[in-house]
Amino acid sequence: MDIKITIEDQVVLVNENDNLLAACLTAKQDVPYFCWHPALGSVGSCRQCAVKVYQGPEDTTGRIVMACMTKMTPAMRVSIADGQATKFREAIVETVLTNHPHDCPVCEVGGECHLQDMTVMTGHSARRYRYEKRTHLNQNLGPFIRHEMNRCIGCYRCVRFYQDYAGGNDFGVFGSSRNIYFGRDESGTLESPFAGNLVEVCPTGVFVDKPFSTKFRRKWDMRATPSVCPHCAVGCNITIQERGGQLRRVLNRYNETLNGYFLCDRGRFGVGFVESNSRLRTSRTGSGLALSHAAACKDLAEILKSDRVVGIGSPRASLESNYALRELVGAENFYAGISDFDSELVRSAIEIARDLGLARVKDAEQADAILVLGDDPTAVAPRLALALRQATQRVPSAILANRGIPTWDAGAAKLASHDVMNPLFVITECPSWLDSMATQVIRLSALEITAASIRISNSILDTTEESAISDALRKAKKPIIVVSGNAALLRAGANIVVALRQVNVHAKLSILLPEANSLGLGLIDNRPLSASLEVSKGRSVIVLENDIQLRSPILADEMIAEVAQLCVLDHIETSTTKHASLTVAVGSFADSDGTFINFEGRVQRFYKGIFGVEEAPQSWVLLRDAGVMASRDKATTWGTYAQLLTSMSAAIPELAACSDASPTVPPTTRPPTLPYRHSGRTAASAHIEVREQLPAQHNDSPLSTTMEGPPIHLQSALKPVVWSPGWNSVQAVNKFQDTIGGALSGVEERFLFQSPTGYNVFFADVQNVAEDHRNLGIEEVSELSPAIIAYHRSMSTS
Amino acid sequence: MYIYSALRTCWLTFLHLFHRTVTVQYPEQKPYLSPRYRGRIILTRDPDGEERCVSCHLCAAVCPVDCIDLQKTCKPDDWSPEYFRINFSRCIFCGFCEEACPTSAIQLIPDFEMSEYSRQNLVYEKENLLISGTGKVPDYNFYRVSGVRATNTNAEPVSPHRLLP
Amino acid sequence: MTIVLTLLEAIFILLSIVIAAATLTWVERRLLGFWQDRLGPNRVGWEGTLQIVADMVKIFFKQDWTPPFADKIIFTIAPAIVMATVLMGFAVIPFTTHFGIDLNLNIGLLFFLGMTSLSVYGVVLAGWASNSKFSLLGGMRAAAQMISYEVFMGLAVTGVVMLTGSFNLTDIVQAQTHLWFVVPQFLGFVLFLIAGIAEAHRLPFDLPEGENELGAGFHTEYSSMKFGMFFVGEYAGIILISMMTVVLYFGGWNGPIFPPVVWFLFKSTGFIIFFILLRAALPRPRYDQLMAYGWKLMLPLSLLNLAVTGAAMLAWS
Repeated sequence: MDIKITIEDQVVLVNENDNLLAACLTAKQDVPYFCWHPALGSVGSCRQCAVKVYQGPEDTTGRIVMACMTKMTPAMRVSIADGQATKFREAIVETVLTNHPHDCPVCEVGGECHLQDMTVMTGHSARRYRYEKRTHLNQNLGPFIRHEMNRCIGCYRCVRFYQDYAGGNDFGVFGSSRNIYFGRDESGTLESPFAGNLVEVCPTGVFVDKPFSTKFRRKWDMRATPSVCPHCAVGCNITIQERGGQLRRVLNRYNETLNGYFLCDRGRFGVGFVESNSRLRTSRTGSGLALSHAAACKDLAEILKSDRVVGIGSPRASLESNYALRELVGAENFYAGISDFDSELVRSAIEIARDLGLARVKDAEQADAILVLGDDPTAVAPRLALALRQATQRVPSAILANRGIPTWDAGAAKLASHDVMNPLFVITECPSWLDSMATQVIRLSALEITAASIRISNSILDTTEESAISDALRKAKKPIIVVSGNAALLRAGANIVVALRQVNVHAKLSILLPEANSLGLGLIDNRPLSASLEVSKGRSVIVLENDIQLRSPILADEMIAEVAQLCVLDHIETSTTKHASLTVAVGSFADSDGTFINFEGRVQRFYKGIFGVEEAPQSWVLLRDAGVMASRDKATTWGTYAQLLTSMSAAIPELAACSDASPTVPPTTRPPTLPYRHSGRTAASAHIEVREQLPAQHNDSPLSTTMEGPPIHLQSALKPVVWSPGWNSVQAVNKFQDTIGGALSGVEERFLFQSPTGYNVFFADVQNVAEDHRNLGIEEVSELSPAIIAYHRSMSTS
Repeated sequence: MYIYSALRTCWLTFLHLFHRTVTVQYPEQKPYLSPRYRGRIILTRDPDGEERCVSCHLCAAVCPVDCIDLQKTCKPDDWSPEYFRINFSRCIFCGFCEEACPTSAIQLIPDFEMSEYSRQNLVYEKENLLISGTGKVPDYNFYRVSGVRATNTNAEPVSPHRLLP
Repeated sequence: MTIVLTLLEAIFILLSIVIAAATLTWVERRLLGFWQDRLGPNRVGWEGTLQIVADMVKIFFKQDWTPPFADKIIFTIAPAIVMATVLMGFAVIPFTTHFGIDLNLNIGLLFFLGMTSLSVYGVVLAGWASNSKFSLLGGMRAAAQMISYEVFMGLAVTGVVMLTGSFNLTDIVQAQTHLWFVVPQFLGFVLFLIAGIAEAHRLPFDLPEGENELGAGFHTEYSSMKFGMFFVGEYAGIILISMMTVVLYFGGWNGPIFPPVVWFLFKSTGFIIFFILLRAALPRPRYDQLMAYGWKLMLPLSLLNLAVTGAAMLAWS
């Protein structure tokens, strides 16, 4: 409910359920804070957000309160600039900084440090503490995170995130009084798959992105481009930061309904493959002769000219690239190039999605009962698993309402819950991370899970049957069924949702898919590798960003033996490229513009973020140029990216939503991807040529490659970096949310399967024949990242 | 009045014929440059002989003509620059970099004789910039004043296994 | 024979004038240097004396570029007109009783006035033919300025003519044997000097060039020796006006002890240095101010000068 309060003599309408700090920030006031985090709630430990509150018009004395721990009452008056409160806040920062090492020049976080911002905000400028500083031992926390405890200001955010939010138990707080220590019992790799978020959660530089430290640049020196994580079907929003044609790091890009403030470690550190040794930088012939990009394109055109060419698409390539290949080889000669198992899975997933719709990550986070069927979501869709954990940890609102505890009061809510949590049922084949927080864990083989699912759906309709799971689901208001594995299980899971809807429980279904663009490719073509075996005999085969050897070694060997020519377009060295008679280097996701459709049916655009010298072309550009050379009429109509999209939505009407997945910006007002303080521009390439080079030319994205244009942080939808005066850290996102913790202002999103059709029809159970040979959750590309390799090594030795 | 002032101006100007000229006959006669003169840029070392530059990028950030580019080494704990490049064909010798430098590594010295026939030769790399001395600041070592290495070495560091308050 | 001798004399005089004008460019730079507490060009030769040689070599070897948009014939002729008219002016200068190209031209003063007036053609045509807005504006300014200042220059010297009763410059000098005309004609002298500065378009009246607003005014588009001719023409103009001032008001070659030619050159040099001093000391007026001085101040003053001279002569006689 909205109430009116007065902040700094301005009457503002605030949400009563917020705390005062969130309300002040929503009113775009600058209030310093450390321990509060919109996703972690308030604990009031840092004493930084002190403001003066007057209880009504007659109250002239006022009192200093911690804004983050203060409920709002109507007619409350708040003064942030009050002298006493200001002095209080300055004193707190000074105290906090007594033991801080002041090593900002040699700190990776310097320049985007919340502590720096808050110090400046409070006005504290001169240090009076002249005594010796406390020191800490640092621990080796593995290949992802570097530990620098001396910088710690004791805000408890790390441990609240790691333990309370992400459910990790190998990291905590030790000691007492002045000697508190945030770390592990002993040195060792952090076990949580979400440990990387400590980098962004920590208000200062205690936890540092280790791979980034090896190619460090200040925030203001890097080109920041909005992108989408290519490592699983969740498609978390990320920002890729580049300098000098080198990918430096990945940051979380806030998206309220998808990844929120957090990423998984695979997303944050898996992009190392872009700069790894396994990267394919030059094209070559089968005999290993290196080819220039133009020559490779010409050779590809020669192949396209031949009579019938078979195209193999890829679920890790963009929709555009897949579509371009499909058009060049003809729809009948284009195959998705996935295993029979995946093909079956995607086919039924699309079928179910059309009928039932797909749940979103936000739905999972707000669910009040969860049933997990099949595979472990932590491996397949880590960010969804984190959302499921939030659903289980959320204290039922009835308990909070009874005791008058606001939802944001994290400590009180935790105490009040008495561990009464929302029910989570895990029915999987293998042990899962969610087991520890589950109400009930059932360990069954894949076939048995299908049978168990059928029993659950039956018992939902047939109340005489005794079943804890179906009881809990029936009682819930918005339960979610998370299903993954084989096609049969998908249908069985869908039937549970159908059954629940029949008893008027609005259940949602989340289907986990194996790869970033599995759903998108499924909508273009879903014929597996095995189907292409017969037609490809004696013909040329073009494989697009796909390691067919990894998908099915037997089928791939058979195909390679029979085809006339094997042409592989890829950005990494794979076992398939070894057999290719023509290997063409193309851009990775970070070098390309494209669209992925994630497992929620969300259409997401990513943009070219790396501009190097002599870089490989994007797949669809290469295919287009080769198509033009081979005088294909269709290819000549794809002059620009927009034209390709138009052509695609005309050919595949279901993908029409892709055409406007990114905002249309006139070329003159394209927001710049280079920050306004992009230093060293006249020296960066001066050692090669002292004359300054032209900026990179790229007209296919709504982002400009230069520094010119309206500031990107003012753009509503495309916000790779958040910055606001006085807010240099990632916390600046507060300034761009309509309500704190809510959506970014002006964001528009596109979804498929928006109007599900059937509600009451059960899916006929299919007997699943194909077997899955892959270990789901081990994504091939991110496995090439040096940081991920080091992580696996450290985990296996410990 | 106007005529008077014009004539007076002429007379005063004429008298300058007998003033001392301020011109310094440069190549033969060297002008006096104060120690604070903003000329060629150097990178200095601390009193222990280590490189002072810690690759904090503040000089690059403050440079109004963006003529400084540098890169920290790829070793996480080593903050010395892998390369440090100044494009003197762009430098305006404003001295902001020296003011911004938290370690007194970058300094401007009284030397301006650095003309070249080719602009390319005005691009100075670290080996051209780094000197073996401390420059204008003889005693300063950043790590002894600030930073994690500067903190108290006498007291026992806090560790997870220490239970004392 | 006399024709040959006169011709040789003329060639000698004109060559000397041209060389003197060129040397003046160096003299000016050095003097400006000293007046600004600098040294000026002192590198080439002893104390920079050979600077003009270096400058000559440079200016001759510069690319002689005629803009494609210019009116080529007039563009080429214009500097020659300036140079020629200024040099023609020297024809009537009596250096001594016996030394000079035409010492007995009975309309000597009128000839001088005519030549200086003609030189404006060079400037205006240069501005016109360049076909550029800066040049055209410079040329227009030159025309307006010349016409305005021509008027009272003629009126100012009329005082001298009235006192002498002759236009012949030798007669004028000889009339000053006992008293230089600067005493009875002081106002006339001041007016003539000011008009002379404007005629030579020297600072502070160099608005036709006006480099801070017009690039280089009428000779913006000129390069190499065409520009050199304007340049030398300007300095020759300074010499001409200086010599004319000496002839009209400072008794020409008259002076004790030293030979007449030394006196003449000594006096002329004094005025040349004064011209340079003006450049060092005075700022340039605005163009409207320049025109206002000419028409509203100088013209009435010169008329007044004439009336007073006439009245005094009447009263005296």
